[in-house]
Amino acid sequence: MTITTNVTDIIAIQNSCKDIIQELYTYESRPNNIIRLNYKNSKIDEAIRFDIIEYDNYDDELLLSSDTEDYYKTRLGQQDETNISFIGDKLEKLKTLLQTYNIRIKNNENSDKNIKQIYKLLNQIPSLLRYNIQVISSNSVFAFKNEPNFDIKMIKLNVCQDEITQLSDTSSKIDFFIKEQKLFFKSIDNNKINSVILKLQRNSLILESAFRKIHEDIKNFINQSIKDGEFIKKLKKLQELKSDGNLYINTNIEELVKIKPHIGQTIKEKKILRDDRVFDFIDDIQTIIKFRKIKIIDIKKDKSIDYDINKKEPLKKVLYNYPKLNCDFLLQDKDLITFLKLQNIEKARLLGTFVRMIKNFSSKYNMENDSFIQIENRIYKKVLAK
Amino acid sequence: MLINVNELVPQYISKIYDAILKSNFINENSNKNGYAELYRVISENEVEIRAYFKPLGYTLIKRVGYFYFARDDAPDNQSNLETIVDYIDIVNFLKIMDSNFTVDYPFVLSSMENQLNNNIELQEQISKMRGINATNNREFIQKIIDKLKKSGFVEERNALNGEFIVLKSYDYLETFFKEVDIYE
Repeated sequence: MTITTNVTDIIAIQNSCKDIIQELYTYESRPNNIIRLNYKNSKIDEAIRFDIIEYDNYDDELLLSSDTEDYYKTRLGQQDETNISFIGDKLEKLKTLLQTYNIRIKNNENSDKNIKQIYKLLNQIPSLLRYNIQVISSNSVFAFKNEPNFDIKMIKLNVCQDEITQLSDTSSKIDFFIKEQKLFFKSIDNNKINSVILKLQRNSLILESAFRKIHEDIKNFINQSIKDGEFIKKLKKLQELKSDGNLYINTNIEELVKIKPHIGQTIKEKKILRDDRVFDFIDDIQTIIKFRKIKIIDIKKDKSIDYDINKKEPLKKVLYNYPKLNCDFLLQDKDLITFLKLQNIEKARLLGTFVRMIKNFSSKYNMENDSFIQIENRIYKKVLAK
Repeated sequence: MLINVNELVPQYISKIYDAILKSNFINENSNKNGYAELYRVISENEVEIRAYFKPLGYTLIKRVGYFYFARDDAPDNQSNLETIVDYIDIVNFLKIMDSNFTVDYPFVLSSMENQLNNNIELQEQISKMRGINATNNREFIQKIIDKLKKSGFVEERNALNGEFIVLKSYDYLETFFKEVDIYE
């Protein structure tokens, strides 16, 4: 069956399938039956016949043909494949066209067609150069930032580096070609060609700096990735040593832990419990009690216990917000006991609160053994923030 | 040194103290607990805050994009060592999963699970990580991320779709492992 080559027909088919093209561009492929159900008025079979859409009979799915996808990717600036050799081909073609032009001029033949072709080819070069620069730049950034696999990332970055060198060489060849053929182009004296030549000459400097920048960027990406690669290698080695039980023998990790400043461990505020150990503060407490003139009665060993040991007393929950109390204490200048008295803490619990704060936050306080203060005829130990 | 307490913006002192007690990093890229604001306040009053907390036994440590407080008194080296050694497997696993997994890296739990389902190297890795017991890949990923979240290395950005971001403090782990010397 012959295929109609009328452009109007192809445009009509594309228009009828525009929603499908849009969907396929977004999702890469869609189930054939669902698409046909949703877009009944579209000329899907014709679109397949004109290679606008492809049908995958293995998965029963529709997808954009590579030509259509390339077309939209290029228009949208999403193309990720370079075509540097294409520029080189155009340059070679230009050289041939120049020779043909000369022959025609020598033979006094009409050369208008040649001039048109020369112009067309020359005019394509700036956009091709720009396109390739954009693709290489975006590919290198994408590879560096988004490629999850390290080995593939390095391959992609090296490809980008080779491509930018190749593009830079091609651009130099174009510059050289224009310089070499300067007199020739002058002899043609065609406004359009002159304008493209000027454009290429003007772009030459901009391109050179763009090449340098991209080259530098890719070099940095590669260097950074090499460092990442070394880190990945190191982590693998550390894990191996750990699972073999040789981590502490074959590394300095223990020494490093000792010398590096680590984030402090979580500090849990304790509640006052009946069995709290106050041994560390027993001398100080006795001194305070002595000054408070409270008689210490020695408990005889044989004395019967005057409370029921089976009677469970419910534990009282935290009496004071110790972290807050501590914060408030640190923010002022008074000694601890004066501060606690000013907080209107219940007298019976004052000593307990005092001991608790000392215990919880002893690293932050400074206690001098012989330093006592007198408040309302009572003597207390002086405790200050360190 | 004289410290002007008024200049220290006292309302932030208790927040900083709270961060110290909870052993939290103060991250520039955190969206929670007002830590980004706290990061700004500490950056602007770094000298005063350092001088204020130093006598209390805490040294302010400044790193790129985050602060933390280290205790000056005898540190629990054994506990610190165990904690850091635990992370070797996790940091390695995440780097194998995506070599770009580092500070500021955004990720989604379901996408991580997909990667794990389709990557044999990662699945082999799981068998080497004895500290994390999970019945399936989803639970495994969830446990790793929960651990990182609890320690203040990642933060949930969207609970609905499981979106997370790696906080600046993740550098704490990476820097440590980079500095370890291996004797061949």
